[in-house]
Amino acid sequence: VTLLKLAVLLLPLALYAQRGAPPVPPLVESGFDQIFDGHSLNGWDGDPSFWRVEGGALVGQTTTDHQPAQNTFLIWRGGSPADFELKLQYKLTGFNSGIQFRSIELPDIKWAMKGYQADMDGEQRYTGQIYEERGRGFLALRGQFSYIPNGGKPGAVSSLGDDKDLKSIIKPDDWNDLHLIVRGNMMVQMLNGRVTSMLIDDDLAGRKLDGLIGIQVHRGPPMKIEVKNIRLKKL
Amino acid sequence: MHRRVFLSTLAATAAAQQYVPKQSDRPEPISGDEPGFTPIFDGKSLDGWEGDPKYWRVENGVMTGEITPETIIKSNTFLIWRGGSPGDFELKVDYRITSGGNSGINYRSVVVPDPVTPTNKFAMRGYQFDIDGQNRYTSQNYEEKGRLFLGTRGQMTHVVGGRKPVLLSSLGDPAALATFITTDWNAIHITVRVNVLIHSLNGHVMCVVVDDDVPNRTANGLIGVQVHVGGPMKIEYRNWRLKAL
Repeated sequence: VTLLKLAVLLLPLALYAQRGAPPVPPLVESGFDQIFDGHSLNGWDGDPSFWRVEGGALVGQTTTDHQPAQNTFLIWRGGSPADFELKLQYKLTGFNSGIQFRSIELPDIKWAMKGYQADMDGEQRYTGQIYEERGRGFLALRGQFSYIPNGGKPGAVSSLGDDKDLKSIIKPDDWNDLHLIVRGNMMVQMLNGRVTSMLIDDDLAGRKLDGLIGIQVHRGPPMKIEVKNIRLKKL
Repeated sequence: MHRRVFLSTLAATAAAQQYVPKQSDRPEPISGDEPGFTPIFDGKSLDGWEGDPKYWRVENGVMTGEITPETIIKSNTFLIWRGGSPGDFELKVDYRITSGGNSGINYRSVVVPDPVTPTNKFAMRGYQFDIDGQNRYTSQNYEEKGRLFLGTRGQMTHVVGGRKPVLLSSLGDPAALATFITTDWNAIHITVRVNVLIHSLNGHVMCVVVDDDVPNRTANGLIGVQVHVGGPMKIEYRNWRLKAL
């Protein structure tokens, strides 16, 4: 009986060893803080004619008749995280939006930002890429593990998958899970459980190692961005 | 030249070479190596490397590890690079393995005693870019004699200690990623920065591990290549380049 018990106990271990893959449990979150209270703009700062709270989400919206002079942002006033993880859910209807991180505010234009952006657009051309708003432009396209040498041009070191496959994981006009991991000079962007872009930024003059978080309302065709369940883990 | 003039000329030259992005620019695949890579294998000898000559030799310019029916081993043994203990680095190398073979590239590793084969002075513990001829394990992050499976092919994981690694995200279907591996030469690219470990193979990211298990992780250490317990096998490596950061 004891031997049998032992065999039963060891069986999962034996299977584990045989299959050779770790049984990975579902993701357990620890250390994350909600940075949006779900019902007010407390802690966030942006042009009130474009931003509101509705249905438990931050909502930024433009119409053909109501346009910002340039891209405008809802800025989180809780800090300038350096190394962090950020998780949120977003739904984009229409033109273009994005989540800024390690960014700055322009000194001369209120609510305008410069810096890294987890990009998104209604046609899913850019969704999943890392773009630098008012900076170095396209840093890592969807499907790229990209590298920026000091003073140089971003280039793809390795592939993260076929662009069509990666595009297919995005849910247009619906809620998507965005997850950013930012550590030192390396950053990883994930959408709906899939890595979509990675970047190592060795450009000493161009890069930034901490900064503001913000959400974009893009000038142009009408758009509506909804963001909820925003969790930040500072490292 | 006056030192100050010389320095300002240098600065002006650097500024002139600075890349200025255009809105139409997109990152394109990098061909060849970025600056800073240096060869760590001379293609002729095992100078700078240390291992049991019974298993390791250079043949036709290729670093070769072989186990024959006469030299079957009871525990894994390594050929170790003696040129340093890099912490943050990029490593590129090509490999080819026989169908029944198992090997791997250890990094940030240490030499440990081998109780099974006490005469083996080349046992290692540490992170490993795993390689096997059947591609069950190839390109996973396996910690030899340590925490074992840290991330399998297609996984991005978070190692926190005191529990199994947590799956953060997918890098693609493991079977689909296996189709990028050939039975001929394959190009490995390992990128290691602080506690993020990235394994690429033939231009595809295969495995990413974020290691926050502070008591058990290593910040630097030895590089070595493995011949594994099992039947006869042959592993070949060539074109080693290291960029230590």
